[in-house]
Amino acid sequence: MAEWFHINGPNVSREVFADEVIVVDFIGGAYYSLDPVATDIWREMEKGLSRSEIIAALCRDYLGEPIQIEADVNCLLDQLLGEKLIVPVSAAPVLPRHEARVTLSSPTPRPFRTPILTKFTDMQDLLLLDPIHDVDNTGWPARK
Amino acid sequence: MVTYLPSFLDEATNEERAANFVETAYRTFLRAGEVSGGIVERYFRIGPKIVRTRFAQTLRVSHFTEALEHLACSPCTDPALTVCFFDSESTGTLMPPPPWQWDAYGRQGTIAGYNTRRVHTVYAPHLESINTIDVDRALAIYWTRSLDSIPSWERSFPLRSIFHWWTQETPLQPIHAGAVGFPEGGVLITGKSGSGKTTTTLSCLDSDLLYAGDDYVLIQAEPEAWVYSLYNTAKLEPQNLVRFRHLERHISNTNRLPDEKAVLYLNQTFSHKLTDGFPIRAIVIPRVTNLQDSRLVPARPSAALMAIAPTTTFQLPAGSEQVFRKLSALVRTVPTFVLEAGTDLPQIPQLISKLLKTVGQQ
Repeated sequence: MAEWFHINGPNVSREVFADEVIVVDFIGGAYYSLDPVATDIWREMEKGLSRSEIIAALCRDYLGEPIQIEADVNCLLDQLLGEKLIVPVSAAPVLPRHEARVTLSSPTPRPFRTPILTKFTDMQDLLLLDPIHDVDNTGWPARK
Repeated sequence: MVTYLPSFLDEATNEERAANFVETAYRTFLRAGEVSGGIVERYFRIGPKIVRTRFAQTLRVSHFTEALEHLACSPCTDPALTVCFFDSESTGTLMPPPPWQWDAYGRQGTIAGYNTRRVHTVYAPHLESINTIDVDRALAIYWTRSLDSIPSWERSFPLRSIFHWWTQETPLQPIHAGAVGFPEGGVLITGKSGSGKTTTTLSCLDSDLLYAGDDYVLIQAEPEAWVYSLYNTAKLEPQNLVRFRHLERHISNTNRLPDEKAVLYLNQTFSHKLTDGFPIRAIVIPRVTNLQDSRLVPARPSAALMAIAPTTTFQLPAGSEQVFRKLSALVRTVPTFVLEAGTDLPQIPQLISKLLKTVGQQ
């Protein structure tokens, strides 16, 4: 099981808001929204925490059964990997000093809810192109 | 008469090969101008810059300029961009065969090997046209086999790809949005096709609000959020015409309805309502409802990004990450509201005017 991850750039880009992450997959033509719990997991992932460190951080910052938190974090990370939004790396990423691996540590733990990744595919048709089957005697594609 | 030019040079690097393609296309344009009796030039103020357009004489210039007519300006000696238009049918000048193989045609018409740091190229099969630019030379070419291949919807917002490439390394960005407002500030109206952008912007024509566009505008995220008008067109879904009966006589493509959207060139009859731009004070995401009354509901900046980024990044060729960065910066600078747009259309400009007064005082 991969332990560290980073965003699958430059094909994938993201913007992290206070309680939501918007992720766009420029190659696949899909875009995604992460709910607040998934956003916290994403933040920890981007800080360079390993899978087990992310789980530990969530167990500390949320009220919930550790076994459930672990299962849900693993499930979300696997979804992100499956959608090719993140890629596994074999060692902890080297981060700039100001982005040192500091975990969330929210003042009051919140109730844990299953993190949700929502996928939108309504733009994918825009990426489709009529296939070029043939060219005419000018060398340019022949109109179908 | 049909004129052929020498075939493309086979150069060592992608960059040089791509730049040679633009040069050959440019030389073909000059030849097309020569054999068709000359070249016509028009100048337009696109955002803060002047763009020169050049046309082979036989081309119906208005085909490409009608949507930009409200931005027409005097000639200048140092335009920021020159775009050359020609077609093969009216000039009798063929574009030399493409220097790429058939499998080079990629997504959104991008040509593999001909999209580099400096050069961008797309072929649109449904338009039978090439758009290409050499950014370092600030030179772009728009070629089509025949004007008959260019439908009314393409004429309503020409040069989107070229403007996109041209502004890629600048704070400017063409985006899929409309805008209405006052000289001191206005709102960006965003959402995917069919979300109510045109309903919102056209409902403001009978108010004091000025019109900057309903479908594509040019924005600048920094240092101050600003929107510039690009096109004076409005495009209405045929089923939406019932809400705007008074505009029916201004439709330019009545003979193409209901297969195409109704296209209106507002410069012809509403020129006094057009503006070339204003500071952005808020982002509005319309949602058409069947209720009578409209209302504005505060929304999060992430909602604005969701409404604006996918539809823009996936419509424009290449450079998606830069577009996303610019839009991410924009949505953090001004507040966002959802406009639940009801059937009593005059309420919409009233709400937007009131919103602008409120945010203007903050």
